[in-house]
Amino acid sequence: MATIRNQPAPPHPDEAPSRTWRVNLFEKFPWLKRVVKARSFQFSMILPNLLLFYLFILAGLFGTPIGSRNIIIVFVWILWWFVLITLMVPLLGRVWCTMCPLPVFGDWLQRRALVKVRSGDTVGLRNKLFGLNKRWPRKLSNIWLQNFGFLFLAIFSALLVTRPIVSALVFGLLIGLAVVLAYVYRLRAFCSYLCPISGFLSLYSMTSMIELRSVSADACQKCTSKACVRGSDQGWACPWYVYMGKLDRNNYCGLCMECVKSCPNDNIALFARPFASDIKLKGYDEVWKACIMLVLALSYSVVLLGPWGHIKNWANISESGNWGGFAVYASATTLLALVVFPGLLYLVVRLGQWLARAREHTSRELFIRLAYTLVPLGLLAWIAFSVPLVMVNGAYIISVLSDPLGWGMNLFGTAGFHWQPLWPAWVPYLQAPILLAGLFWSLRTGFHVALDLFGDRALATRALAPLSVFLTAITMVFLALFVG
Amino acid sequence: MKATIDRVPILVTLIMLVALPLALLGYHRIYLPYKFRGARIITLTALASDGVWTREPVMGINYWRKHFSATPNIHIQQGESVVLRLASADVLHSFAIPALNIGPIEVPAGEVREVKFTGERPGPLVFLCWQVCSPVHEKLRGQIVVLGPGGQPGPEDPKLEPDLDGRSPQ
Repeated sequence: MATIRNQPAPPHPDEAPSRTWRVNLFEKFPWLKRVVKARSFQFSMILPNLLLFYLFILAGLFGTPIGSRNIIIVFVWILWWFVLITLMVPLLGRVWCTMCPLPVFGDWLQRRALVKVRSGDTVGLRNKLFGLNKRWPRKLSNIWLQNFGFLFLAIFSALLVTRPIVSALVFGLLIGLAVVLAYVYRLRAFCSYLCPISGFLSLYSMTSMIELRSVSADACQKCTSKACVRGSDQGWACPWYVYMGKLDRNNYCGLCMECVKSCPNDNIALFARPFASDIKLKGYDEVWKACIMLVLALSYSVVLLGPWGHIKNWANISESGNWGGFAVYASATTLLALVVFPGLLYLVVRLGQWLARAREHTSRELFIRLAYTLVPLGLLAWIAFSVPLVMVNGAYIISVLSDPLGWGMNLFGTAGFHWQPLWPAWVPYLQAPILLAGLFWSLRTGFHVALDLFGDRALATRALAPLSVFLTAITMVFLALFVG
Repeated sequence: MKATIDRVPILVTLIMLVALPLALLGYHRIYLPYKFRGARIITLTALASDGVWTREPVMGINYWRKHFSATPNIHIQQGESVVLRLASADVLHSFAIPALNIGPIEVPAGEVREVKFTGERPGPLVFLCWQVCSPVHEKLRGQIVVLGPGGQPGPEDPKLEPDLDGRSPQ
């Protein structure tokens, strides 16, 4: 079996040319491979989160309606969100999907098992799967539903992230949806095509510093069983229906590690790699996802962190009752995310295409490929937005830990911990470098994409120039918002 | 081994699904009565939106769709020990029983404050919100009636309205 032992990765058209290292973590840490190969691995990671989310939903239903004193708001929208976007995604990609409790009941319904694997033959897969096992409609086999779902939830974010009952109902709805879809469709249709969290994880996992890949492409080509995608008596068929032999991006791998168990050639490994190594977007749905996420980072920053009270009131529809204002806010966000921003992006890409006299590439190809520059900038903009979330509101985590439902408990003696922001004067000094780092990575990877497309530094520079100005302008807007 | 490999996780999951709500229920049904053994526990929640102190449970599932009714007079026996668990479902309130020199006690939103007292003398005890919390702040008041021997309300007419400053009539 061929192995990669800390060698530079072979050049790949979709990879950043500057990628100089790749480490097989299963070789470096054999215990990690043993842990991941255990059948109980994924469930062991899911169970604590299942308990937590169950507590969150109960707290949302039966706890205090005051968000800052209810664990569902404090732990989900402050702690979990911060850890997810700041640490988990950039470092570990879609590792949240490994441990997410939302689809576990659907999985059980489909597999009739939480840990063990069932052999069988179901719609060409080598596992026994229950339910109707219908194929997900081809026309919806993209992330458009996730795009619109996330945008819809985000427009109601002022309610979602402050009202315990709203969060509880949304999580309950997602769990219910996952169960229904697991019964009707094969594999994890909910996670692949509907889950709003999965949508943005798929995009930003492209930047992550780990990847699950085949060790030897040759071994995959010669493999006749294709157990990674079809399953075997050692592991379930890939819930995302990903064939490891051709996997070249993190987007749609949920890191469940079933393929590591099922591969008959022991040919799958976890690799560490440089930040932002996946640089190829593959469709309009992903481009629009990048646009939506960046616009929403801006919208959240304006509504939740900005000084404009009237905009907060527009977004806070359940308290203000100002439907006219809400309509303005919702329409503006939607238009900006779906029309204006993608339109501006298209214009600057076309301008760059004209400057570079690029005729060998279509506008579509350039638009999709260069839209990747929104990914590092978007991720870092979200991180910059999340920093004050936890620095200003983090004290609530301490008090809520002891009184999760606002019932007057004092489990760990910290219920009386008073709110106090953590070094608020330092927030802009943290946000600014994070944003500038995002701009740097966007320009850097954008240059690599352009170089890959045009093969000439001068042409790549000309093609990227208008987009660089656009990205810099976006960063300046964020800086003005955060720093003043 | 293979047959049992899934029984443990299923059992653990089922136990968790049952145990957690039971534990939460146990907090109210077992722990609080034990903590305040010998005392009667009364929970009062202040709502500025409705201008009431209510004894109805106020929580995420009903706060946004329900109007809550003010607590009727609370009757306690002379000499009975009472623990009032005071909560606020919206803004900062405060609580006071001027006749007993209790309070003002701040009741921040989402938090619970506990005050213990004994009804020594038969008669009405007015409780009210001491801090201007909303346009209907004046409505946030109620009565605890200490019943005398034989369950009688005492020599003073409990229907008497207290003075505007909140003190019971002498």
